[in-house]
This record gives sequence, structure tokens and C-alpha cells, in this order.
Amino acid sequence: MRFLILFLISFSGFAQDIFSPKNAEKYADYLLKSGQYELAAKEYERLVFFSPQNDTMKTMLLKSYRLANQTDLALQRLMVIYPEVSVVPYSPSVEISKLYFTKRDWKAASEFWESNKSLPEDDKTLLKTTVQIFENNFQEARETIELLKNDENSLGLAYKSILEKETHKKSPALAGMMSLVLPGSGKAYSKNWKDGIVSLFFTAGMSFQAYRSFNTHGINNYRGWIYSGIGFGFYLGNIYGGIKSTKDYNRKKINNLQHEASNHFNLYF
Amino acid sequence: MKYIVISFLLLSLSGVKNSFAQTDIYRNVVPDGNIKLVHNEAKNNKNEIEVVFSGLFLFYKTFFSSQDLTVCTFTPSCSEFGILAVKKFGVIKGGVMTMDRLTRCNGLSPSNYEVDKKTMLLKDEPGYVVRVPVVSDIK
Repeated sequence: MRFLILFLISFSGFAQDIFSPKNAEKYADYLLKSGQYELAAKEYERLVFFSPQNDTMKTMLLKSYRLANQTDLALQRLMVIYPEVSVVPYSPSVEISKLYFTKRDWKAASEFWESNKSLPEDDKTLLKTTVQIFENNFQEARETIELLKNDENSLGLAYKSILEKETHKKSPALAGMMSLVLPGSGKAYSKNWKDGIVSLFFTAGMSFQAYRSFNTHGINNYRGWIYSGIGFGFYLGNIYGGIKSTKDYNRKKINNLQHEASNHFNLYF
Repeated sequence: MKYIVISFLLLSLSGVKNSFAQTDIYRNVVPDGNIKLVHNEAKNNKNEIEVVFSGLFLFYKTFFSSQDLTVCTFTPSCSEFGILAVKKFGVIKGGVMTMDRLTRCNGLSPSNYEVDKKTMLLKDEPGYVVRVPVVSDIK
């Protein structure tokens, strides 16, 4: 009986082949799906070492580094695993583009697409449009998306719809002028009513205090000048605040469109 | 009368040590007062103007702000925002930004800002721009 048990245990030893490339791939996939990106990257490094020609493993390696917020390390490894960028296949090319997007290195991304031969022209157009949308360059994005050959492309259609939505922006210069005339009105113009009213109270309050001090103590007394100085500071702050508030208002509108574009981008690529 | 007040003050000084001993009982509840607050905003000054403003900032933090609770609705607080803005944008623009910030420090428009998860205060750093990420961080 004892020998039989030992015999069976020796068979079970064969089943513990956790370091085979197939099992290592399964484990790396598990690590990636469970959000353990750094550990997944280490496992994929092993897999790339075992099979240096496997583009899927290389793509997953770059993806793991990207998700682990180690974009610099990913780009360093990229130079080693793909010394020639022009021949990088489609799937890793998309991952490399995502790496540059995460790093917000638009210039490097454009240079990569120009030299790469695997990415179809339509995909390059879509990627360029993505960059222009995220650089707030909607006018150029509208021109670029027109170069798309396939009119039925889902991302292309989504981008066209987003670019049509870019509505009228409020003018920061007008907000500045309004604040110059009536403190707080610039903020109210960008629908920031409450801050506008507070700005008006601060500036008007200090102006009233300055006026009262000059009336009571005369022009040679320090009190009036102190209130005037503080009031003038609030007045300048109100002009700056009006402009900033309007810029923020415009930025929020653009950010909403960018969020929408990001959702479509991540569904497509 | 003057001598009574002086002698009272001297007597109260002699009791200072005992009062510290009293708070030691609650050392796990109340900070013992020996915690040295470090203001990194006032460090790494590059010119004389920054040194002067950092000095004013430290003076305010030590003698005025330390006597009050955390009442600013933002992080960094208005004084920290002021010194950071002056260091980043210079005296004129930084000063104007600080005056604007003081008027915005009212808690009436919390929807305009992100909430800092650590301090649970509204996040408003000088020159901070919200950037929408292009690529999802889970896919």
C-alpha cells in the first residue's frame, strides 16, 4: 500500500508544471486581469524571453507596463524588443500609440505613425484625429476626419458627431471687460453667480471702507490708503477671476467632449 | 496692582510644566504640541522676493493660522496657494491670483472643483489644468 501511494505521488509531481510557457501565459493573463499589472509585466518579460518572436506576448508586455503606469520603462523596452519601428505589426503598433497617448507625447506618436507601415491609413487618420481632439484643436480635427476613406467606420462616425457638438464658447475677453465695468459680472457671465456676488461684495465693501476712511480721517491718513490698496487687489483679482472662470467654463465643455471621445476610442482600439 | 499681576504671571509660568504633565495622560488623543509642522512651500527659494514672501508666509502660519482651526475650504489652503502662486507666476500675477482665490474661498460653489480624497477638501492648485486621459487605465 505504501509503495502504491508513493508511486501515485510521483505521478502527481508531473502535474506541477507551472513554469511551462503555456502555464506561465495563463498565470500572466490572470495577473493582468486581476489588476496586478507590475507582476504581470514580470511574467510577460519571462514569456518574451522564451519566445522573442511572439508579437502577442510583446504587446501584452507593453500593455502591462502601461497599465502599471511605467510608460518610461515600456518605451525603454520598446527600443529593445522592436529596434525597427517601421516593421512593428498592427497589434503592438496600437499598443505603442496608446503608450504615447498615456504619456501625452503627441509628437513622438505622430513620428511613429509616419514611419510605421503596418497601420492602415484609416487608423492613422483616426489616431491623428484623436490627438487633435485632445489637443483642443477641433478645427484641424474636422479637416483630418474628412480624409477617412471608410465612411461607415464606427469611430469615425462617433468622432464626426462629437466634432459637430462643439458649440459656441464664451469669450474670456468679454468676461474681463464685464468685470472691469462691474466687479463679479465676468464670473456671472460664465454662470458662476455665487462667486460673482462674493467678488462684488468684497470689492464694493473695501471701496466703501476706503471712501468712509478718506471722508472721516482725510486723505493724509493711512487707513483710507490701506483699504484702497486691498480693494484694488480684490478688483484686479475679480478681473482675473472673471477671465479664468470663463476659460474654465469652456474647458469643462471641451472636457465633456473629450470624455466622450475617450470612451469611443477605448471601445474601438 | 502691578506687582500682583506680575507675581500671578510668574506663578502661572511655574505651573506650565505641570500642565504639560496633565496633557500627557491624553497623549493618544490630543497632540502634545511638540509636533513640528513643516511647510515645504516656504523651502527652495530662488531669489530674494521669494525669501521675503516665504518669511511672511511662515510668520502668518506660526502666529496667526496656528491659533485657528482649518477653516479654508480648499487644499492647498489660501496662504499656501499664495506662496505657491508667487513662486510659480511671480509677485504680480501670483498676487492677483491669490486675491481671486480669497474671494472664491466661500464654499458656495463646490461643484466647480474636484475633491481631494486625502483631506476631503476642494482641490485648487495654482496653474492646475484638468486633463482628460485618452486611454483607459483598465483596458
